[in-house]
Amino acid sequence: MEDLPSELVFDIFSRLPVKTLLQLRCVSKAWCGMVDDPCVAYMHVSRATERPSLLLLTRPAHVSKSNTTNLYPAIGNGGTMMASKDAIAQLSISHRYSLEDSFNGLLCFAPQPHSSSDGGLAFLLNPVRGDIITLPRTTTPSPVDYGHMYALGFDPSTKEYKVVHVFYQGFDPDNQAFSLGAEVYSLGTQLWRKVSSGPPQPLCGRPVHAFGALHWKVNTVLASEELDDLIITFDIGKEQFSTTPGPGFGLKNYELVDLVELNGCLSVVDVSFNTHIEVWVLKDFVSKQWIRQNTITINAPDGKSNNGHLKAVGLWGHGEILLASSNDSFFSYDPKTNGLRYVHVSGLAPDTSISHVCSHKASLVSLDAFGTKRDAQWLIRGRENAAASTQMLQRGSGSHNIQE
Amino acid sequence: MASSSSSLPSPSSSSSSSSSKKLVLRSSDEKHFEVDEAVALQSEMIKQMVEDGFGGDVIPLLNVSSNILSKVIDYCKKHVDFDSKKKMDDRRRWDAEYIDVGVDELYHLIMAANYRNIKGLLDLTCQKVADTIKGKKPKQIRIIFNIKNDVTPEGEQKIRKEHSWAFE
Repeated sequence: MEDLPSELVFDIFSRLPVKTLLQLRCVSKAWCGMVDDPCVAYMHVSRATERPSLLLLTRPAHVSKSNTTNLYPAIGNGGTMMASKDAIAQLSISHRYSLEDSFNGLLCFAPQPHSSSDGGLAFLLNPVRGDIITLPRTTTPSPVDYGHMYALGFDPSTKEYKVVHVFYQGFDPDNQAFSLGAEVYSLGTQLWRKVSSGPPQPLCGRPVHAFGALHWKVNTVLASEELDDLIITFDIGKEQFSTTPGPGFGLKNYELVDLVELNGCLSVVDVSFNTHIEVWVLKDFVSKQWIRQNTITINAPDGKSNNGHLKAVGLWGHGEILLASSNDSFFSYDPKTNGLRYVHVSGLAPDTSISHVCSHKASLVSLDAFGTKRDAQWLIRGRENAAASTQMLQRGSGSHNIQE
Repeated sequence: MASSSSSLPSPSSSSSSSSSKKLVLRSSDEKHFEVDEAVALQSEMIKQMVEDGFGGDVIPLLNVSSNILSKVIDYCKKHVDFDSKKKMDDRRRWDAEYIDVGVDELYHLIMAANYRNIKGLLDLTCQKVADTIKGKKPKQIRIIFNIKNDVTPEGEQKIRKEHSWAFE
């Protein structure tokens, strides 16, 4: 097998999960080099080999360590969400950074309201590789420092990763609301490009990746009109916003409806009923036809009758949907068996709290080529020596939360 | 390799309809195989040769031995049948049985599928190698694929430490 041409080895490797690939780096020097080859990362993502798993963002309970965020991969094991013993990455960021999106193994973090003024920049991270790049400072001013949203996408026609930034750009006196602007940054370029028109309605929550586009719920509380169309779609290639009709169940409190990706399809999880949960799937993006996939009757696993506290997190395990309850407990819904069960979290240190759980498909996609890696390397703990971190501090990133 | 030609997919044309066009393939060890054109055209390479007006009577396949070529022709024949019937379950079952071979044979099949550019067979063989790797420890993989370990214990320790979560 050692004589196989490298393109065949890449083909074989691209069929294996990331965890296996990282183990294969031990087999021999040649295999280590081939796992690290960008061809494998590219083919692996194109083939969509990786199953979605979960990533737990945790914070130590001690206030003195509050500037640390640890990322733990978690695997599903029966009714258990088991965090790995070792963190996949440790970041020197505080709670003022939020996770904006997770796509093709890349995570996008952005500073939260009241912290963007202190110079914090949004950044991308591939936790598996420890690659990190900061995004350029936006050139379009926003009158307010809240309401910034970031999302990631891949344009197969240009083979570019793109970041979309949505923000409030001006006050519309007619609607008594801010209008929204948007800009796009292609990785490897220098500047944000303004999108000619922003989202038609305010967005809510994290985007869902399906049909080669990004989809958000409309924030119906802030929306300028009563809306049946609950979904705003952004075409990554055309860089255009549009609306996608929802399943047609009319007005709903947006907090009770979640978007998730189910096997590449856009899906709606409706938790607005007391008795059951409905899952709708948009099978065909062209015909815009929604199909009610499942109705889960709830014999409230923990005796609760109100589903309003449940939020759909995303896919994990073997195609199950993870639902998070407001009191930090988790439930898993299996569309195949139509069963809902309580999920026990294990493996985390007792003095750790989960600040966020996201659905994540690990990848080997490298960010090295897209920017000076060292610019942001201090954000990752333990990868760079303290001297380099200090040097970065002195170069003017002083307002960040560094703990070295 | 002393495989008698009688055990190979036949030079004789008795089994297939005489109306279809035939091509003759020659293995590296000088064995001749007469096959239906449709079967041979499963190979993108041969398809290209025919389209480019390759005029010879015999298509030489310098890198493929007769026993591997015979196995490859089995695959192509069966898949010409499958293509006309579209029974996915049958196809999967047949593929699984077909590819249940040792590492050496698998290697030669991959090389042949790659050289002759037979997409379906290449996919099947690569997936088989991937499935063989899955769930094995690096040490087992070295034994199965006969790979020399040139990573020092210190080096291995370092590689493990870089992604310790992946080794849990």
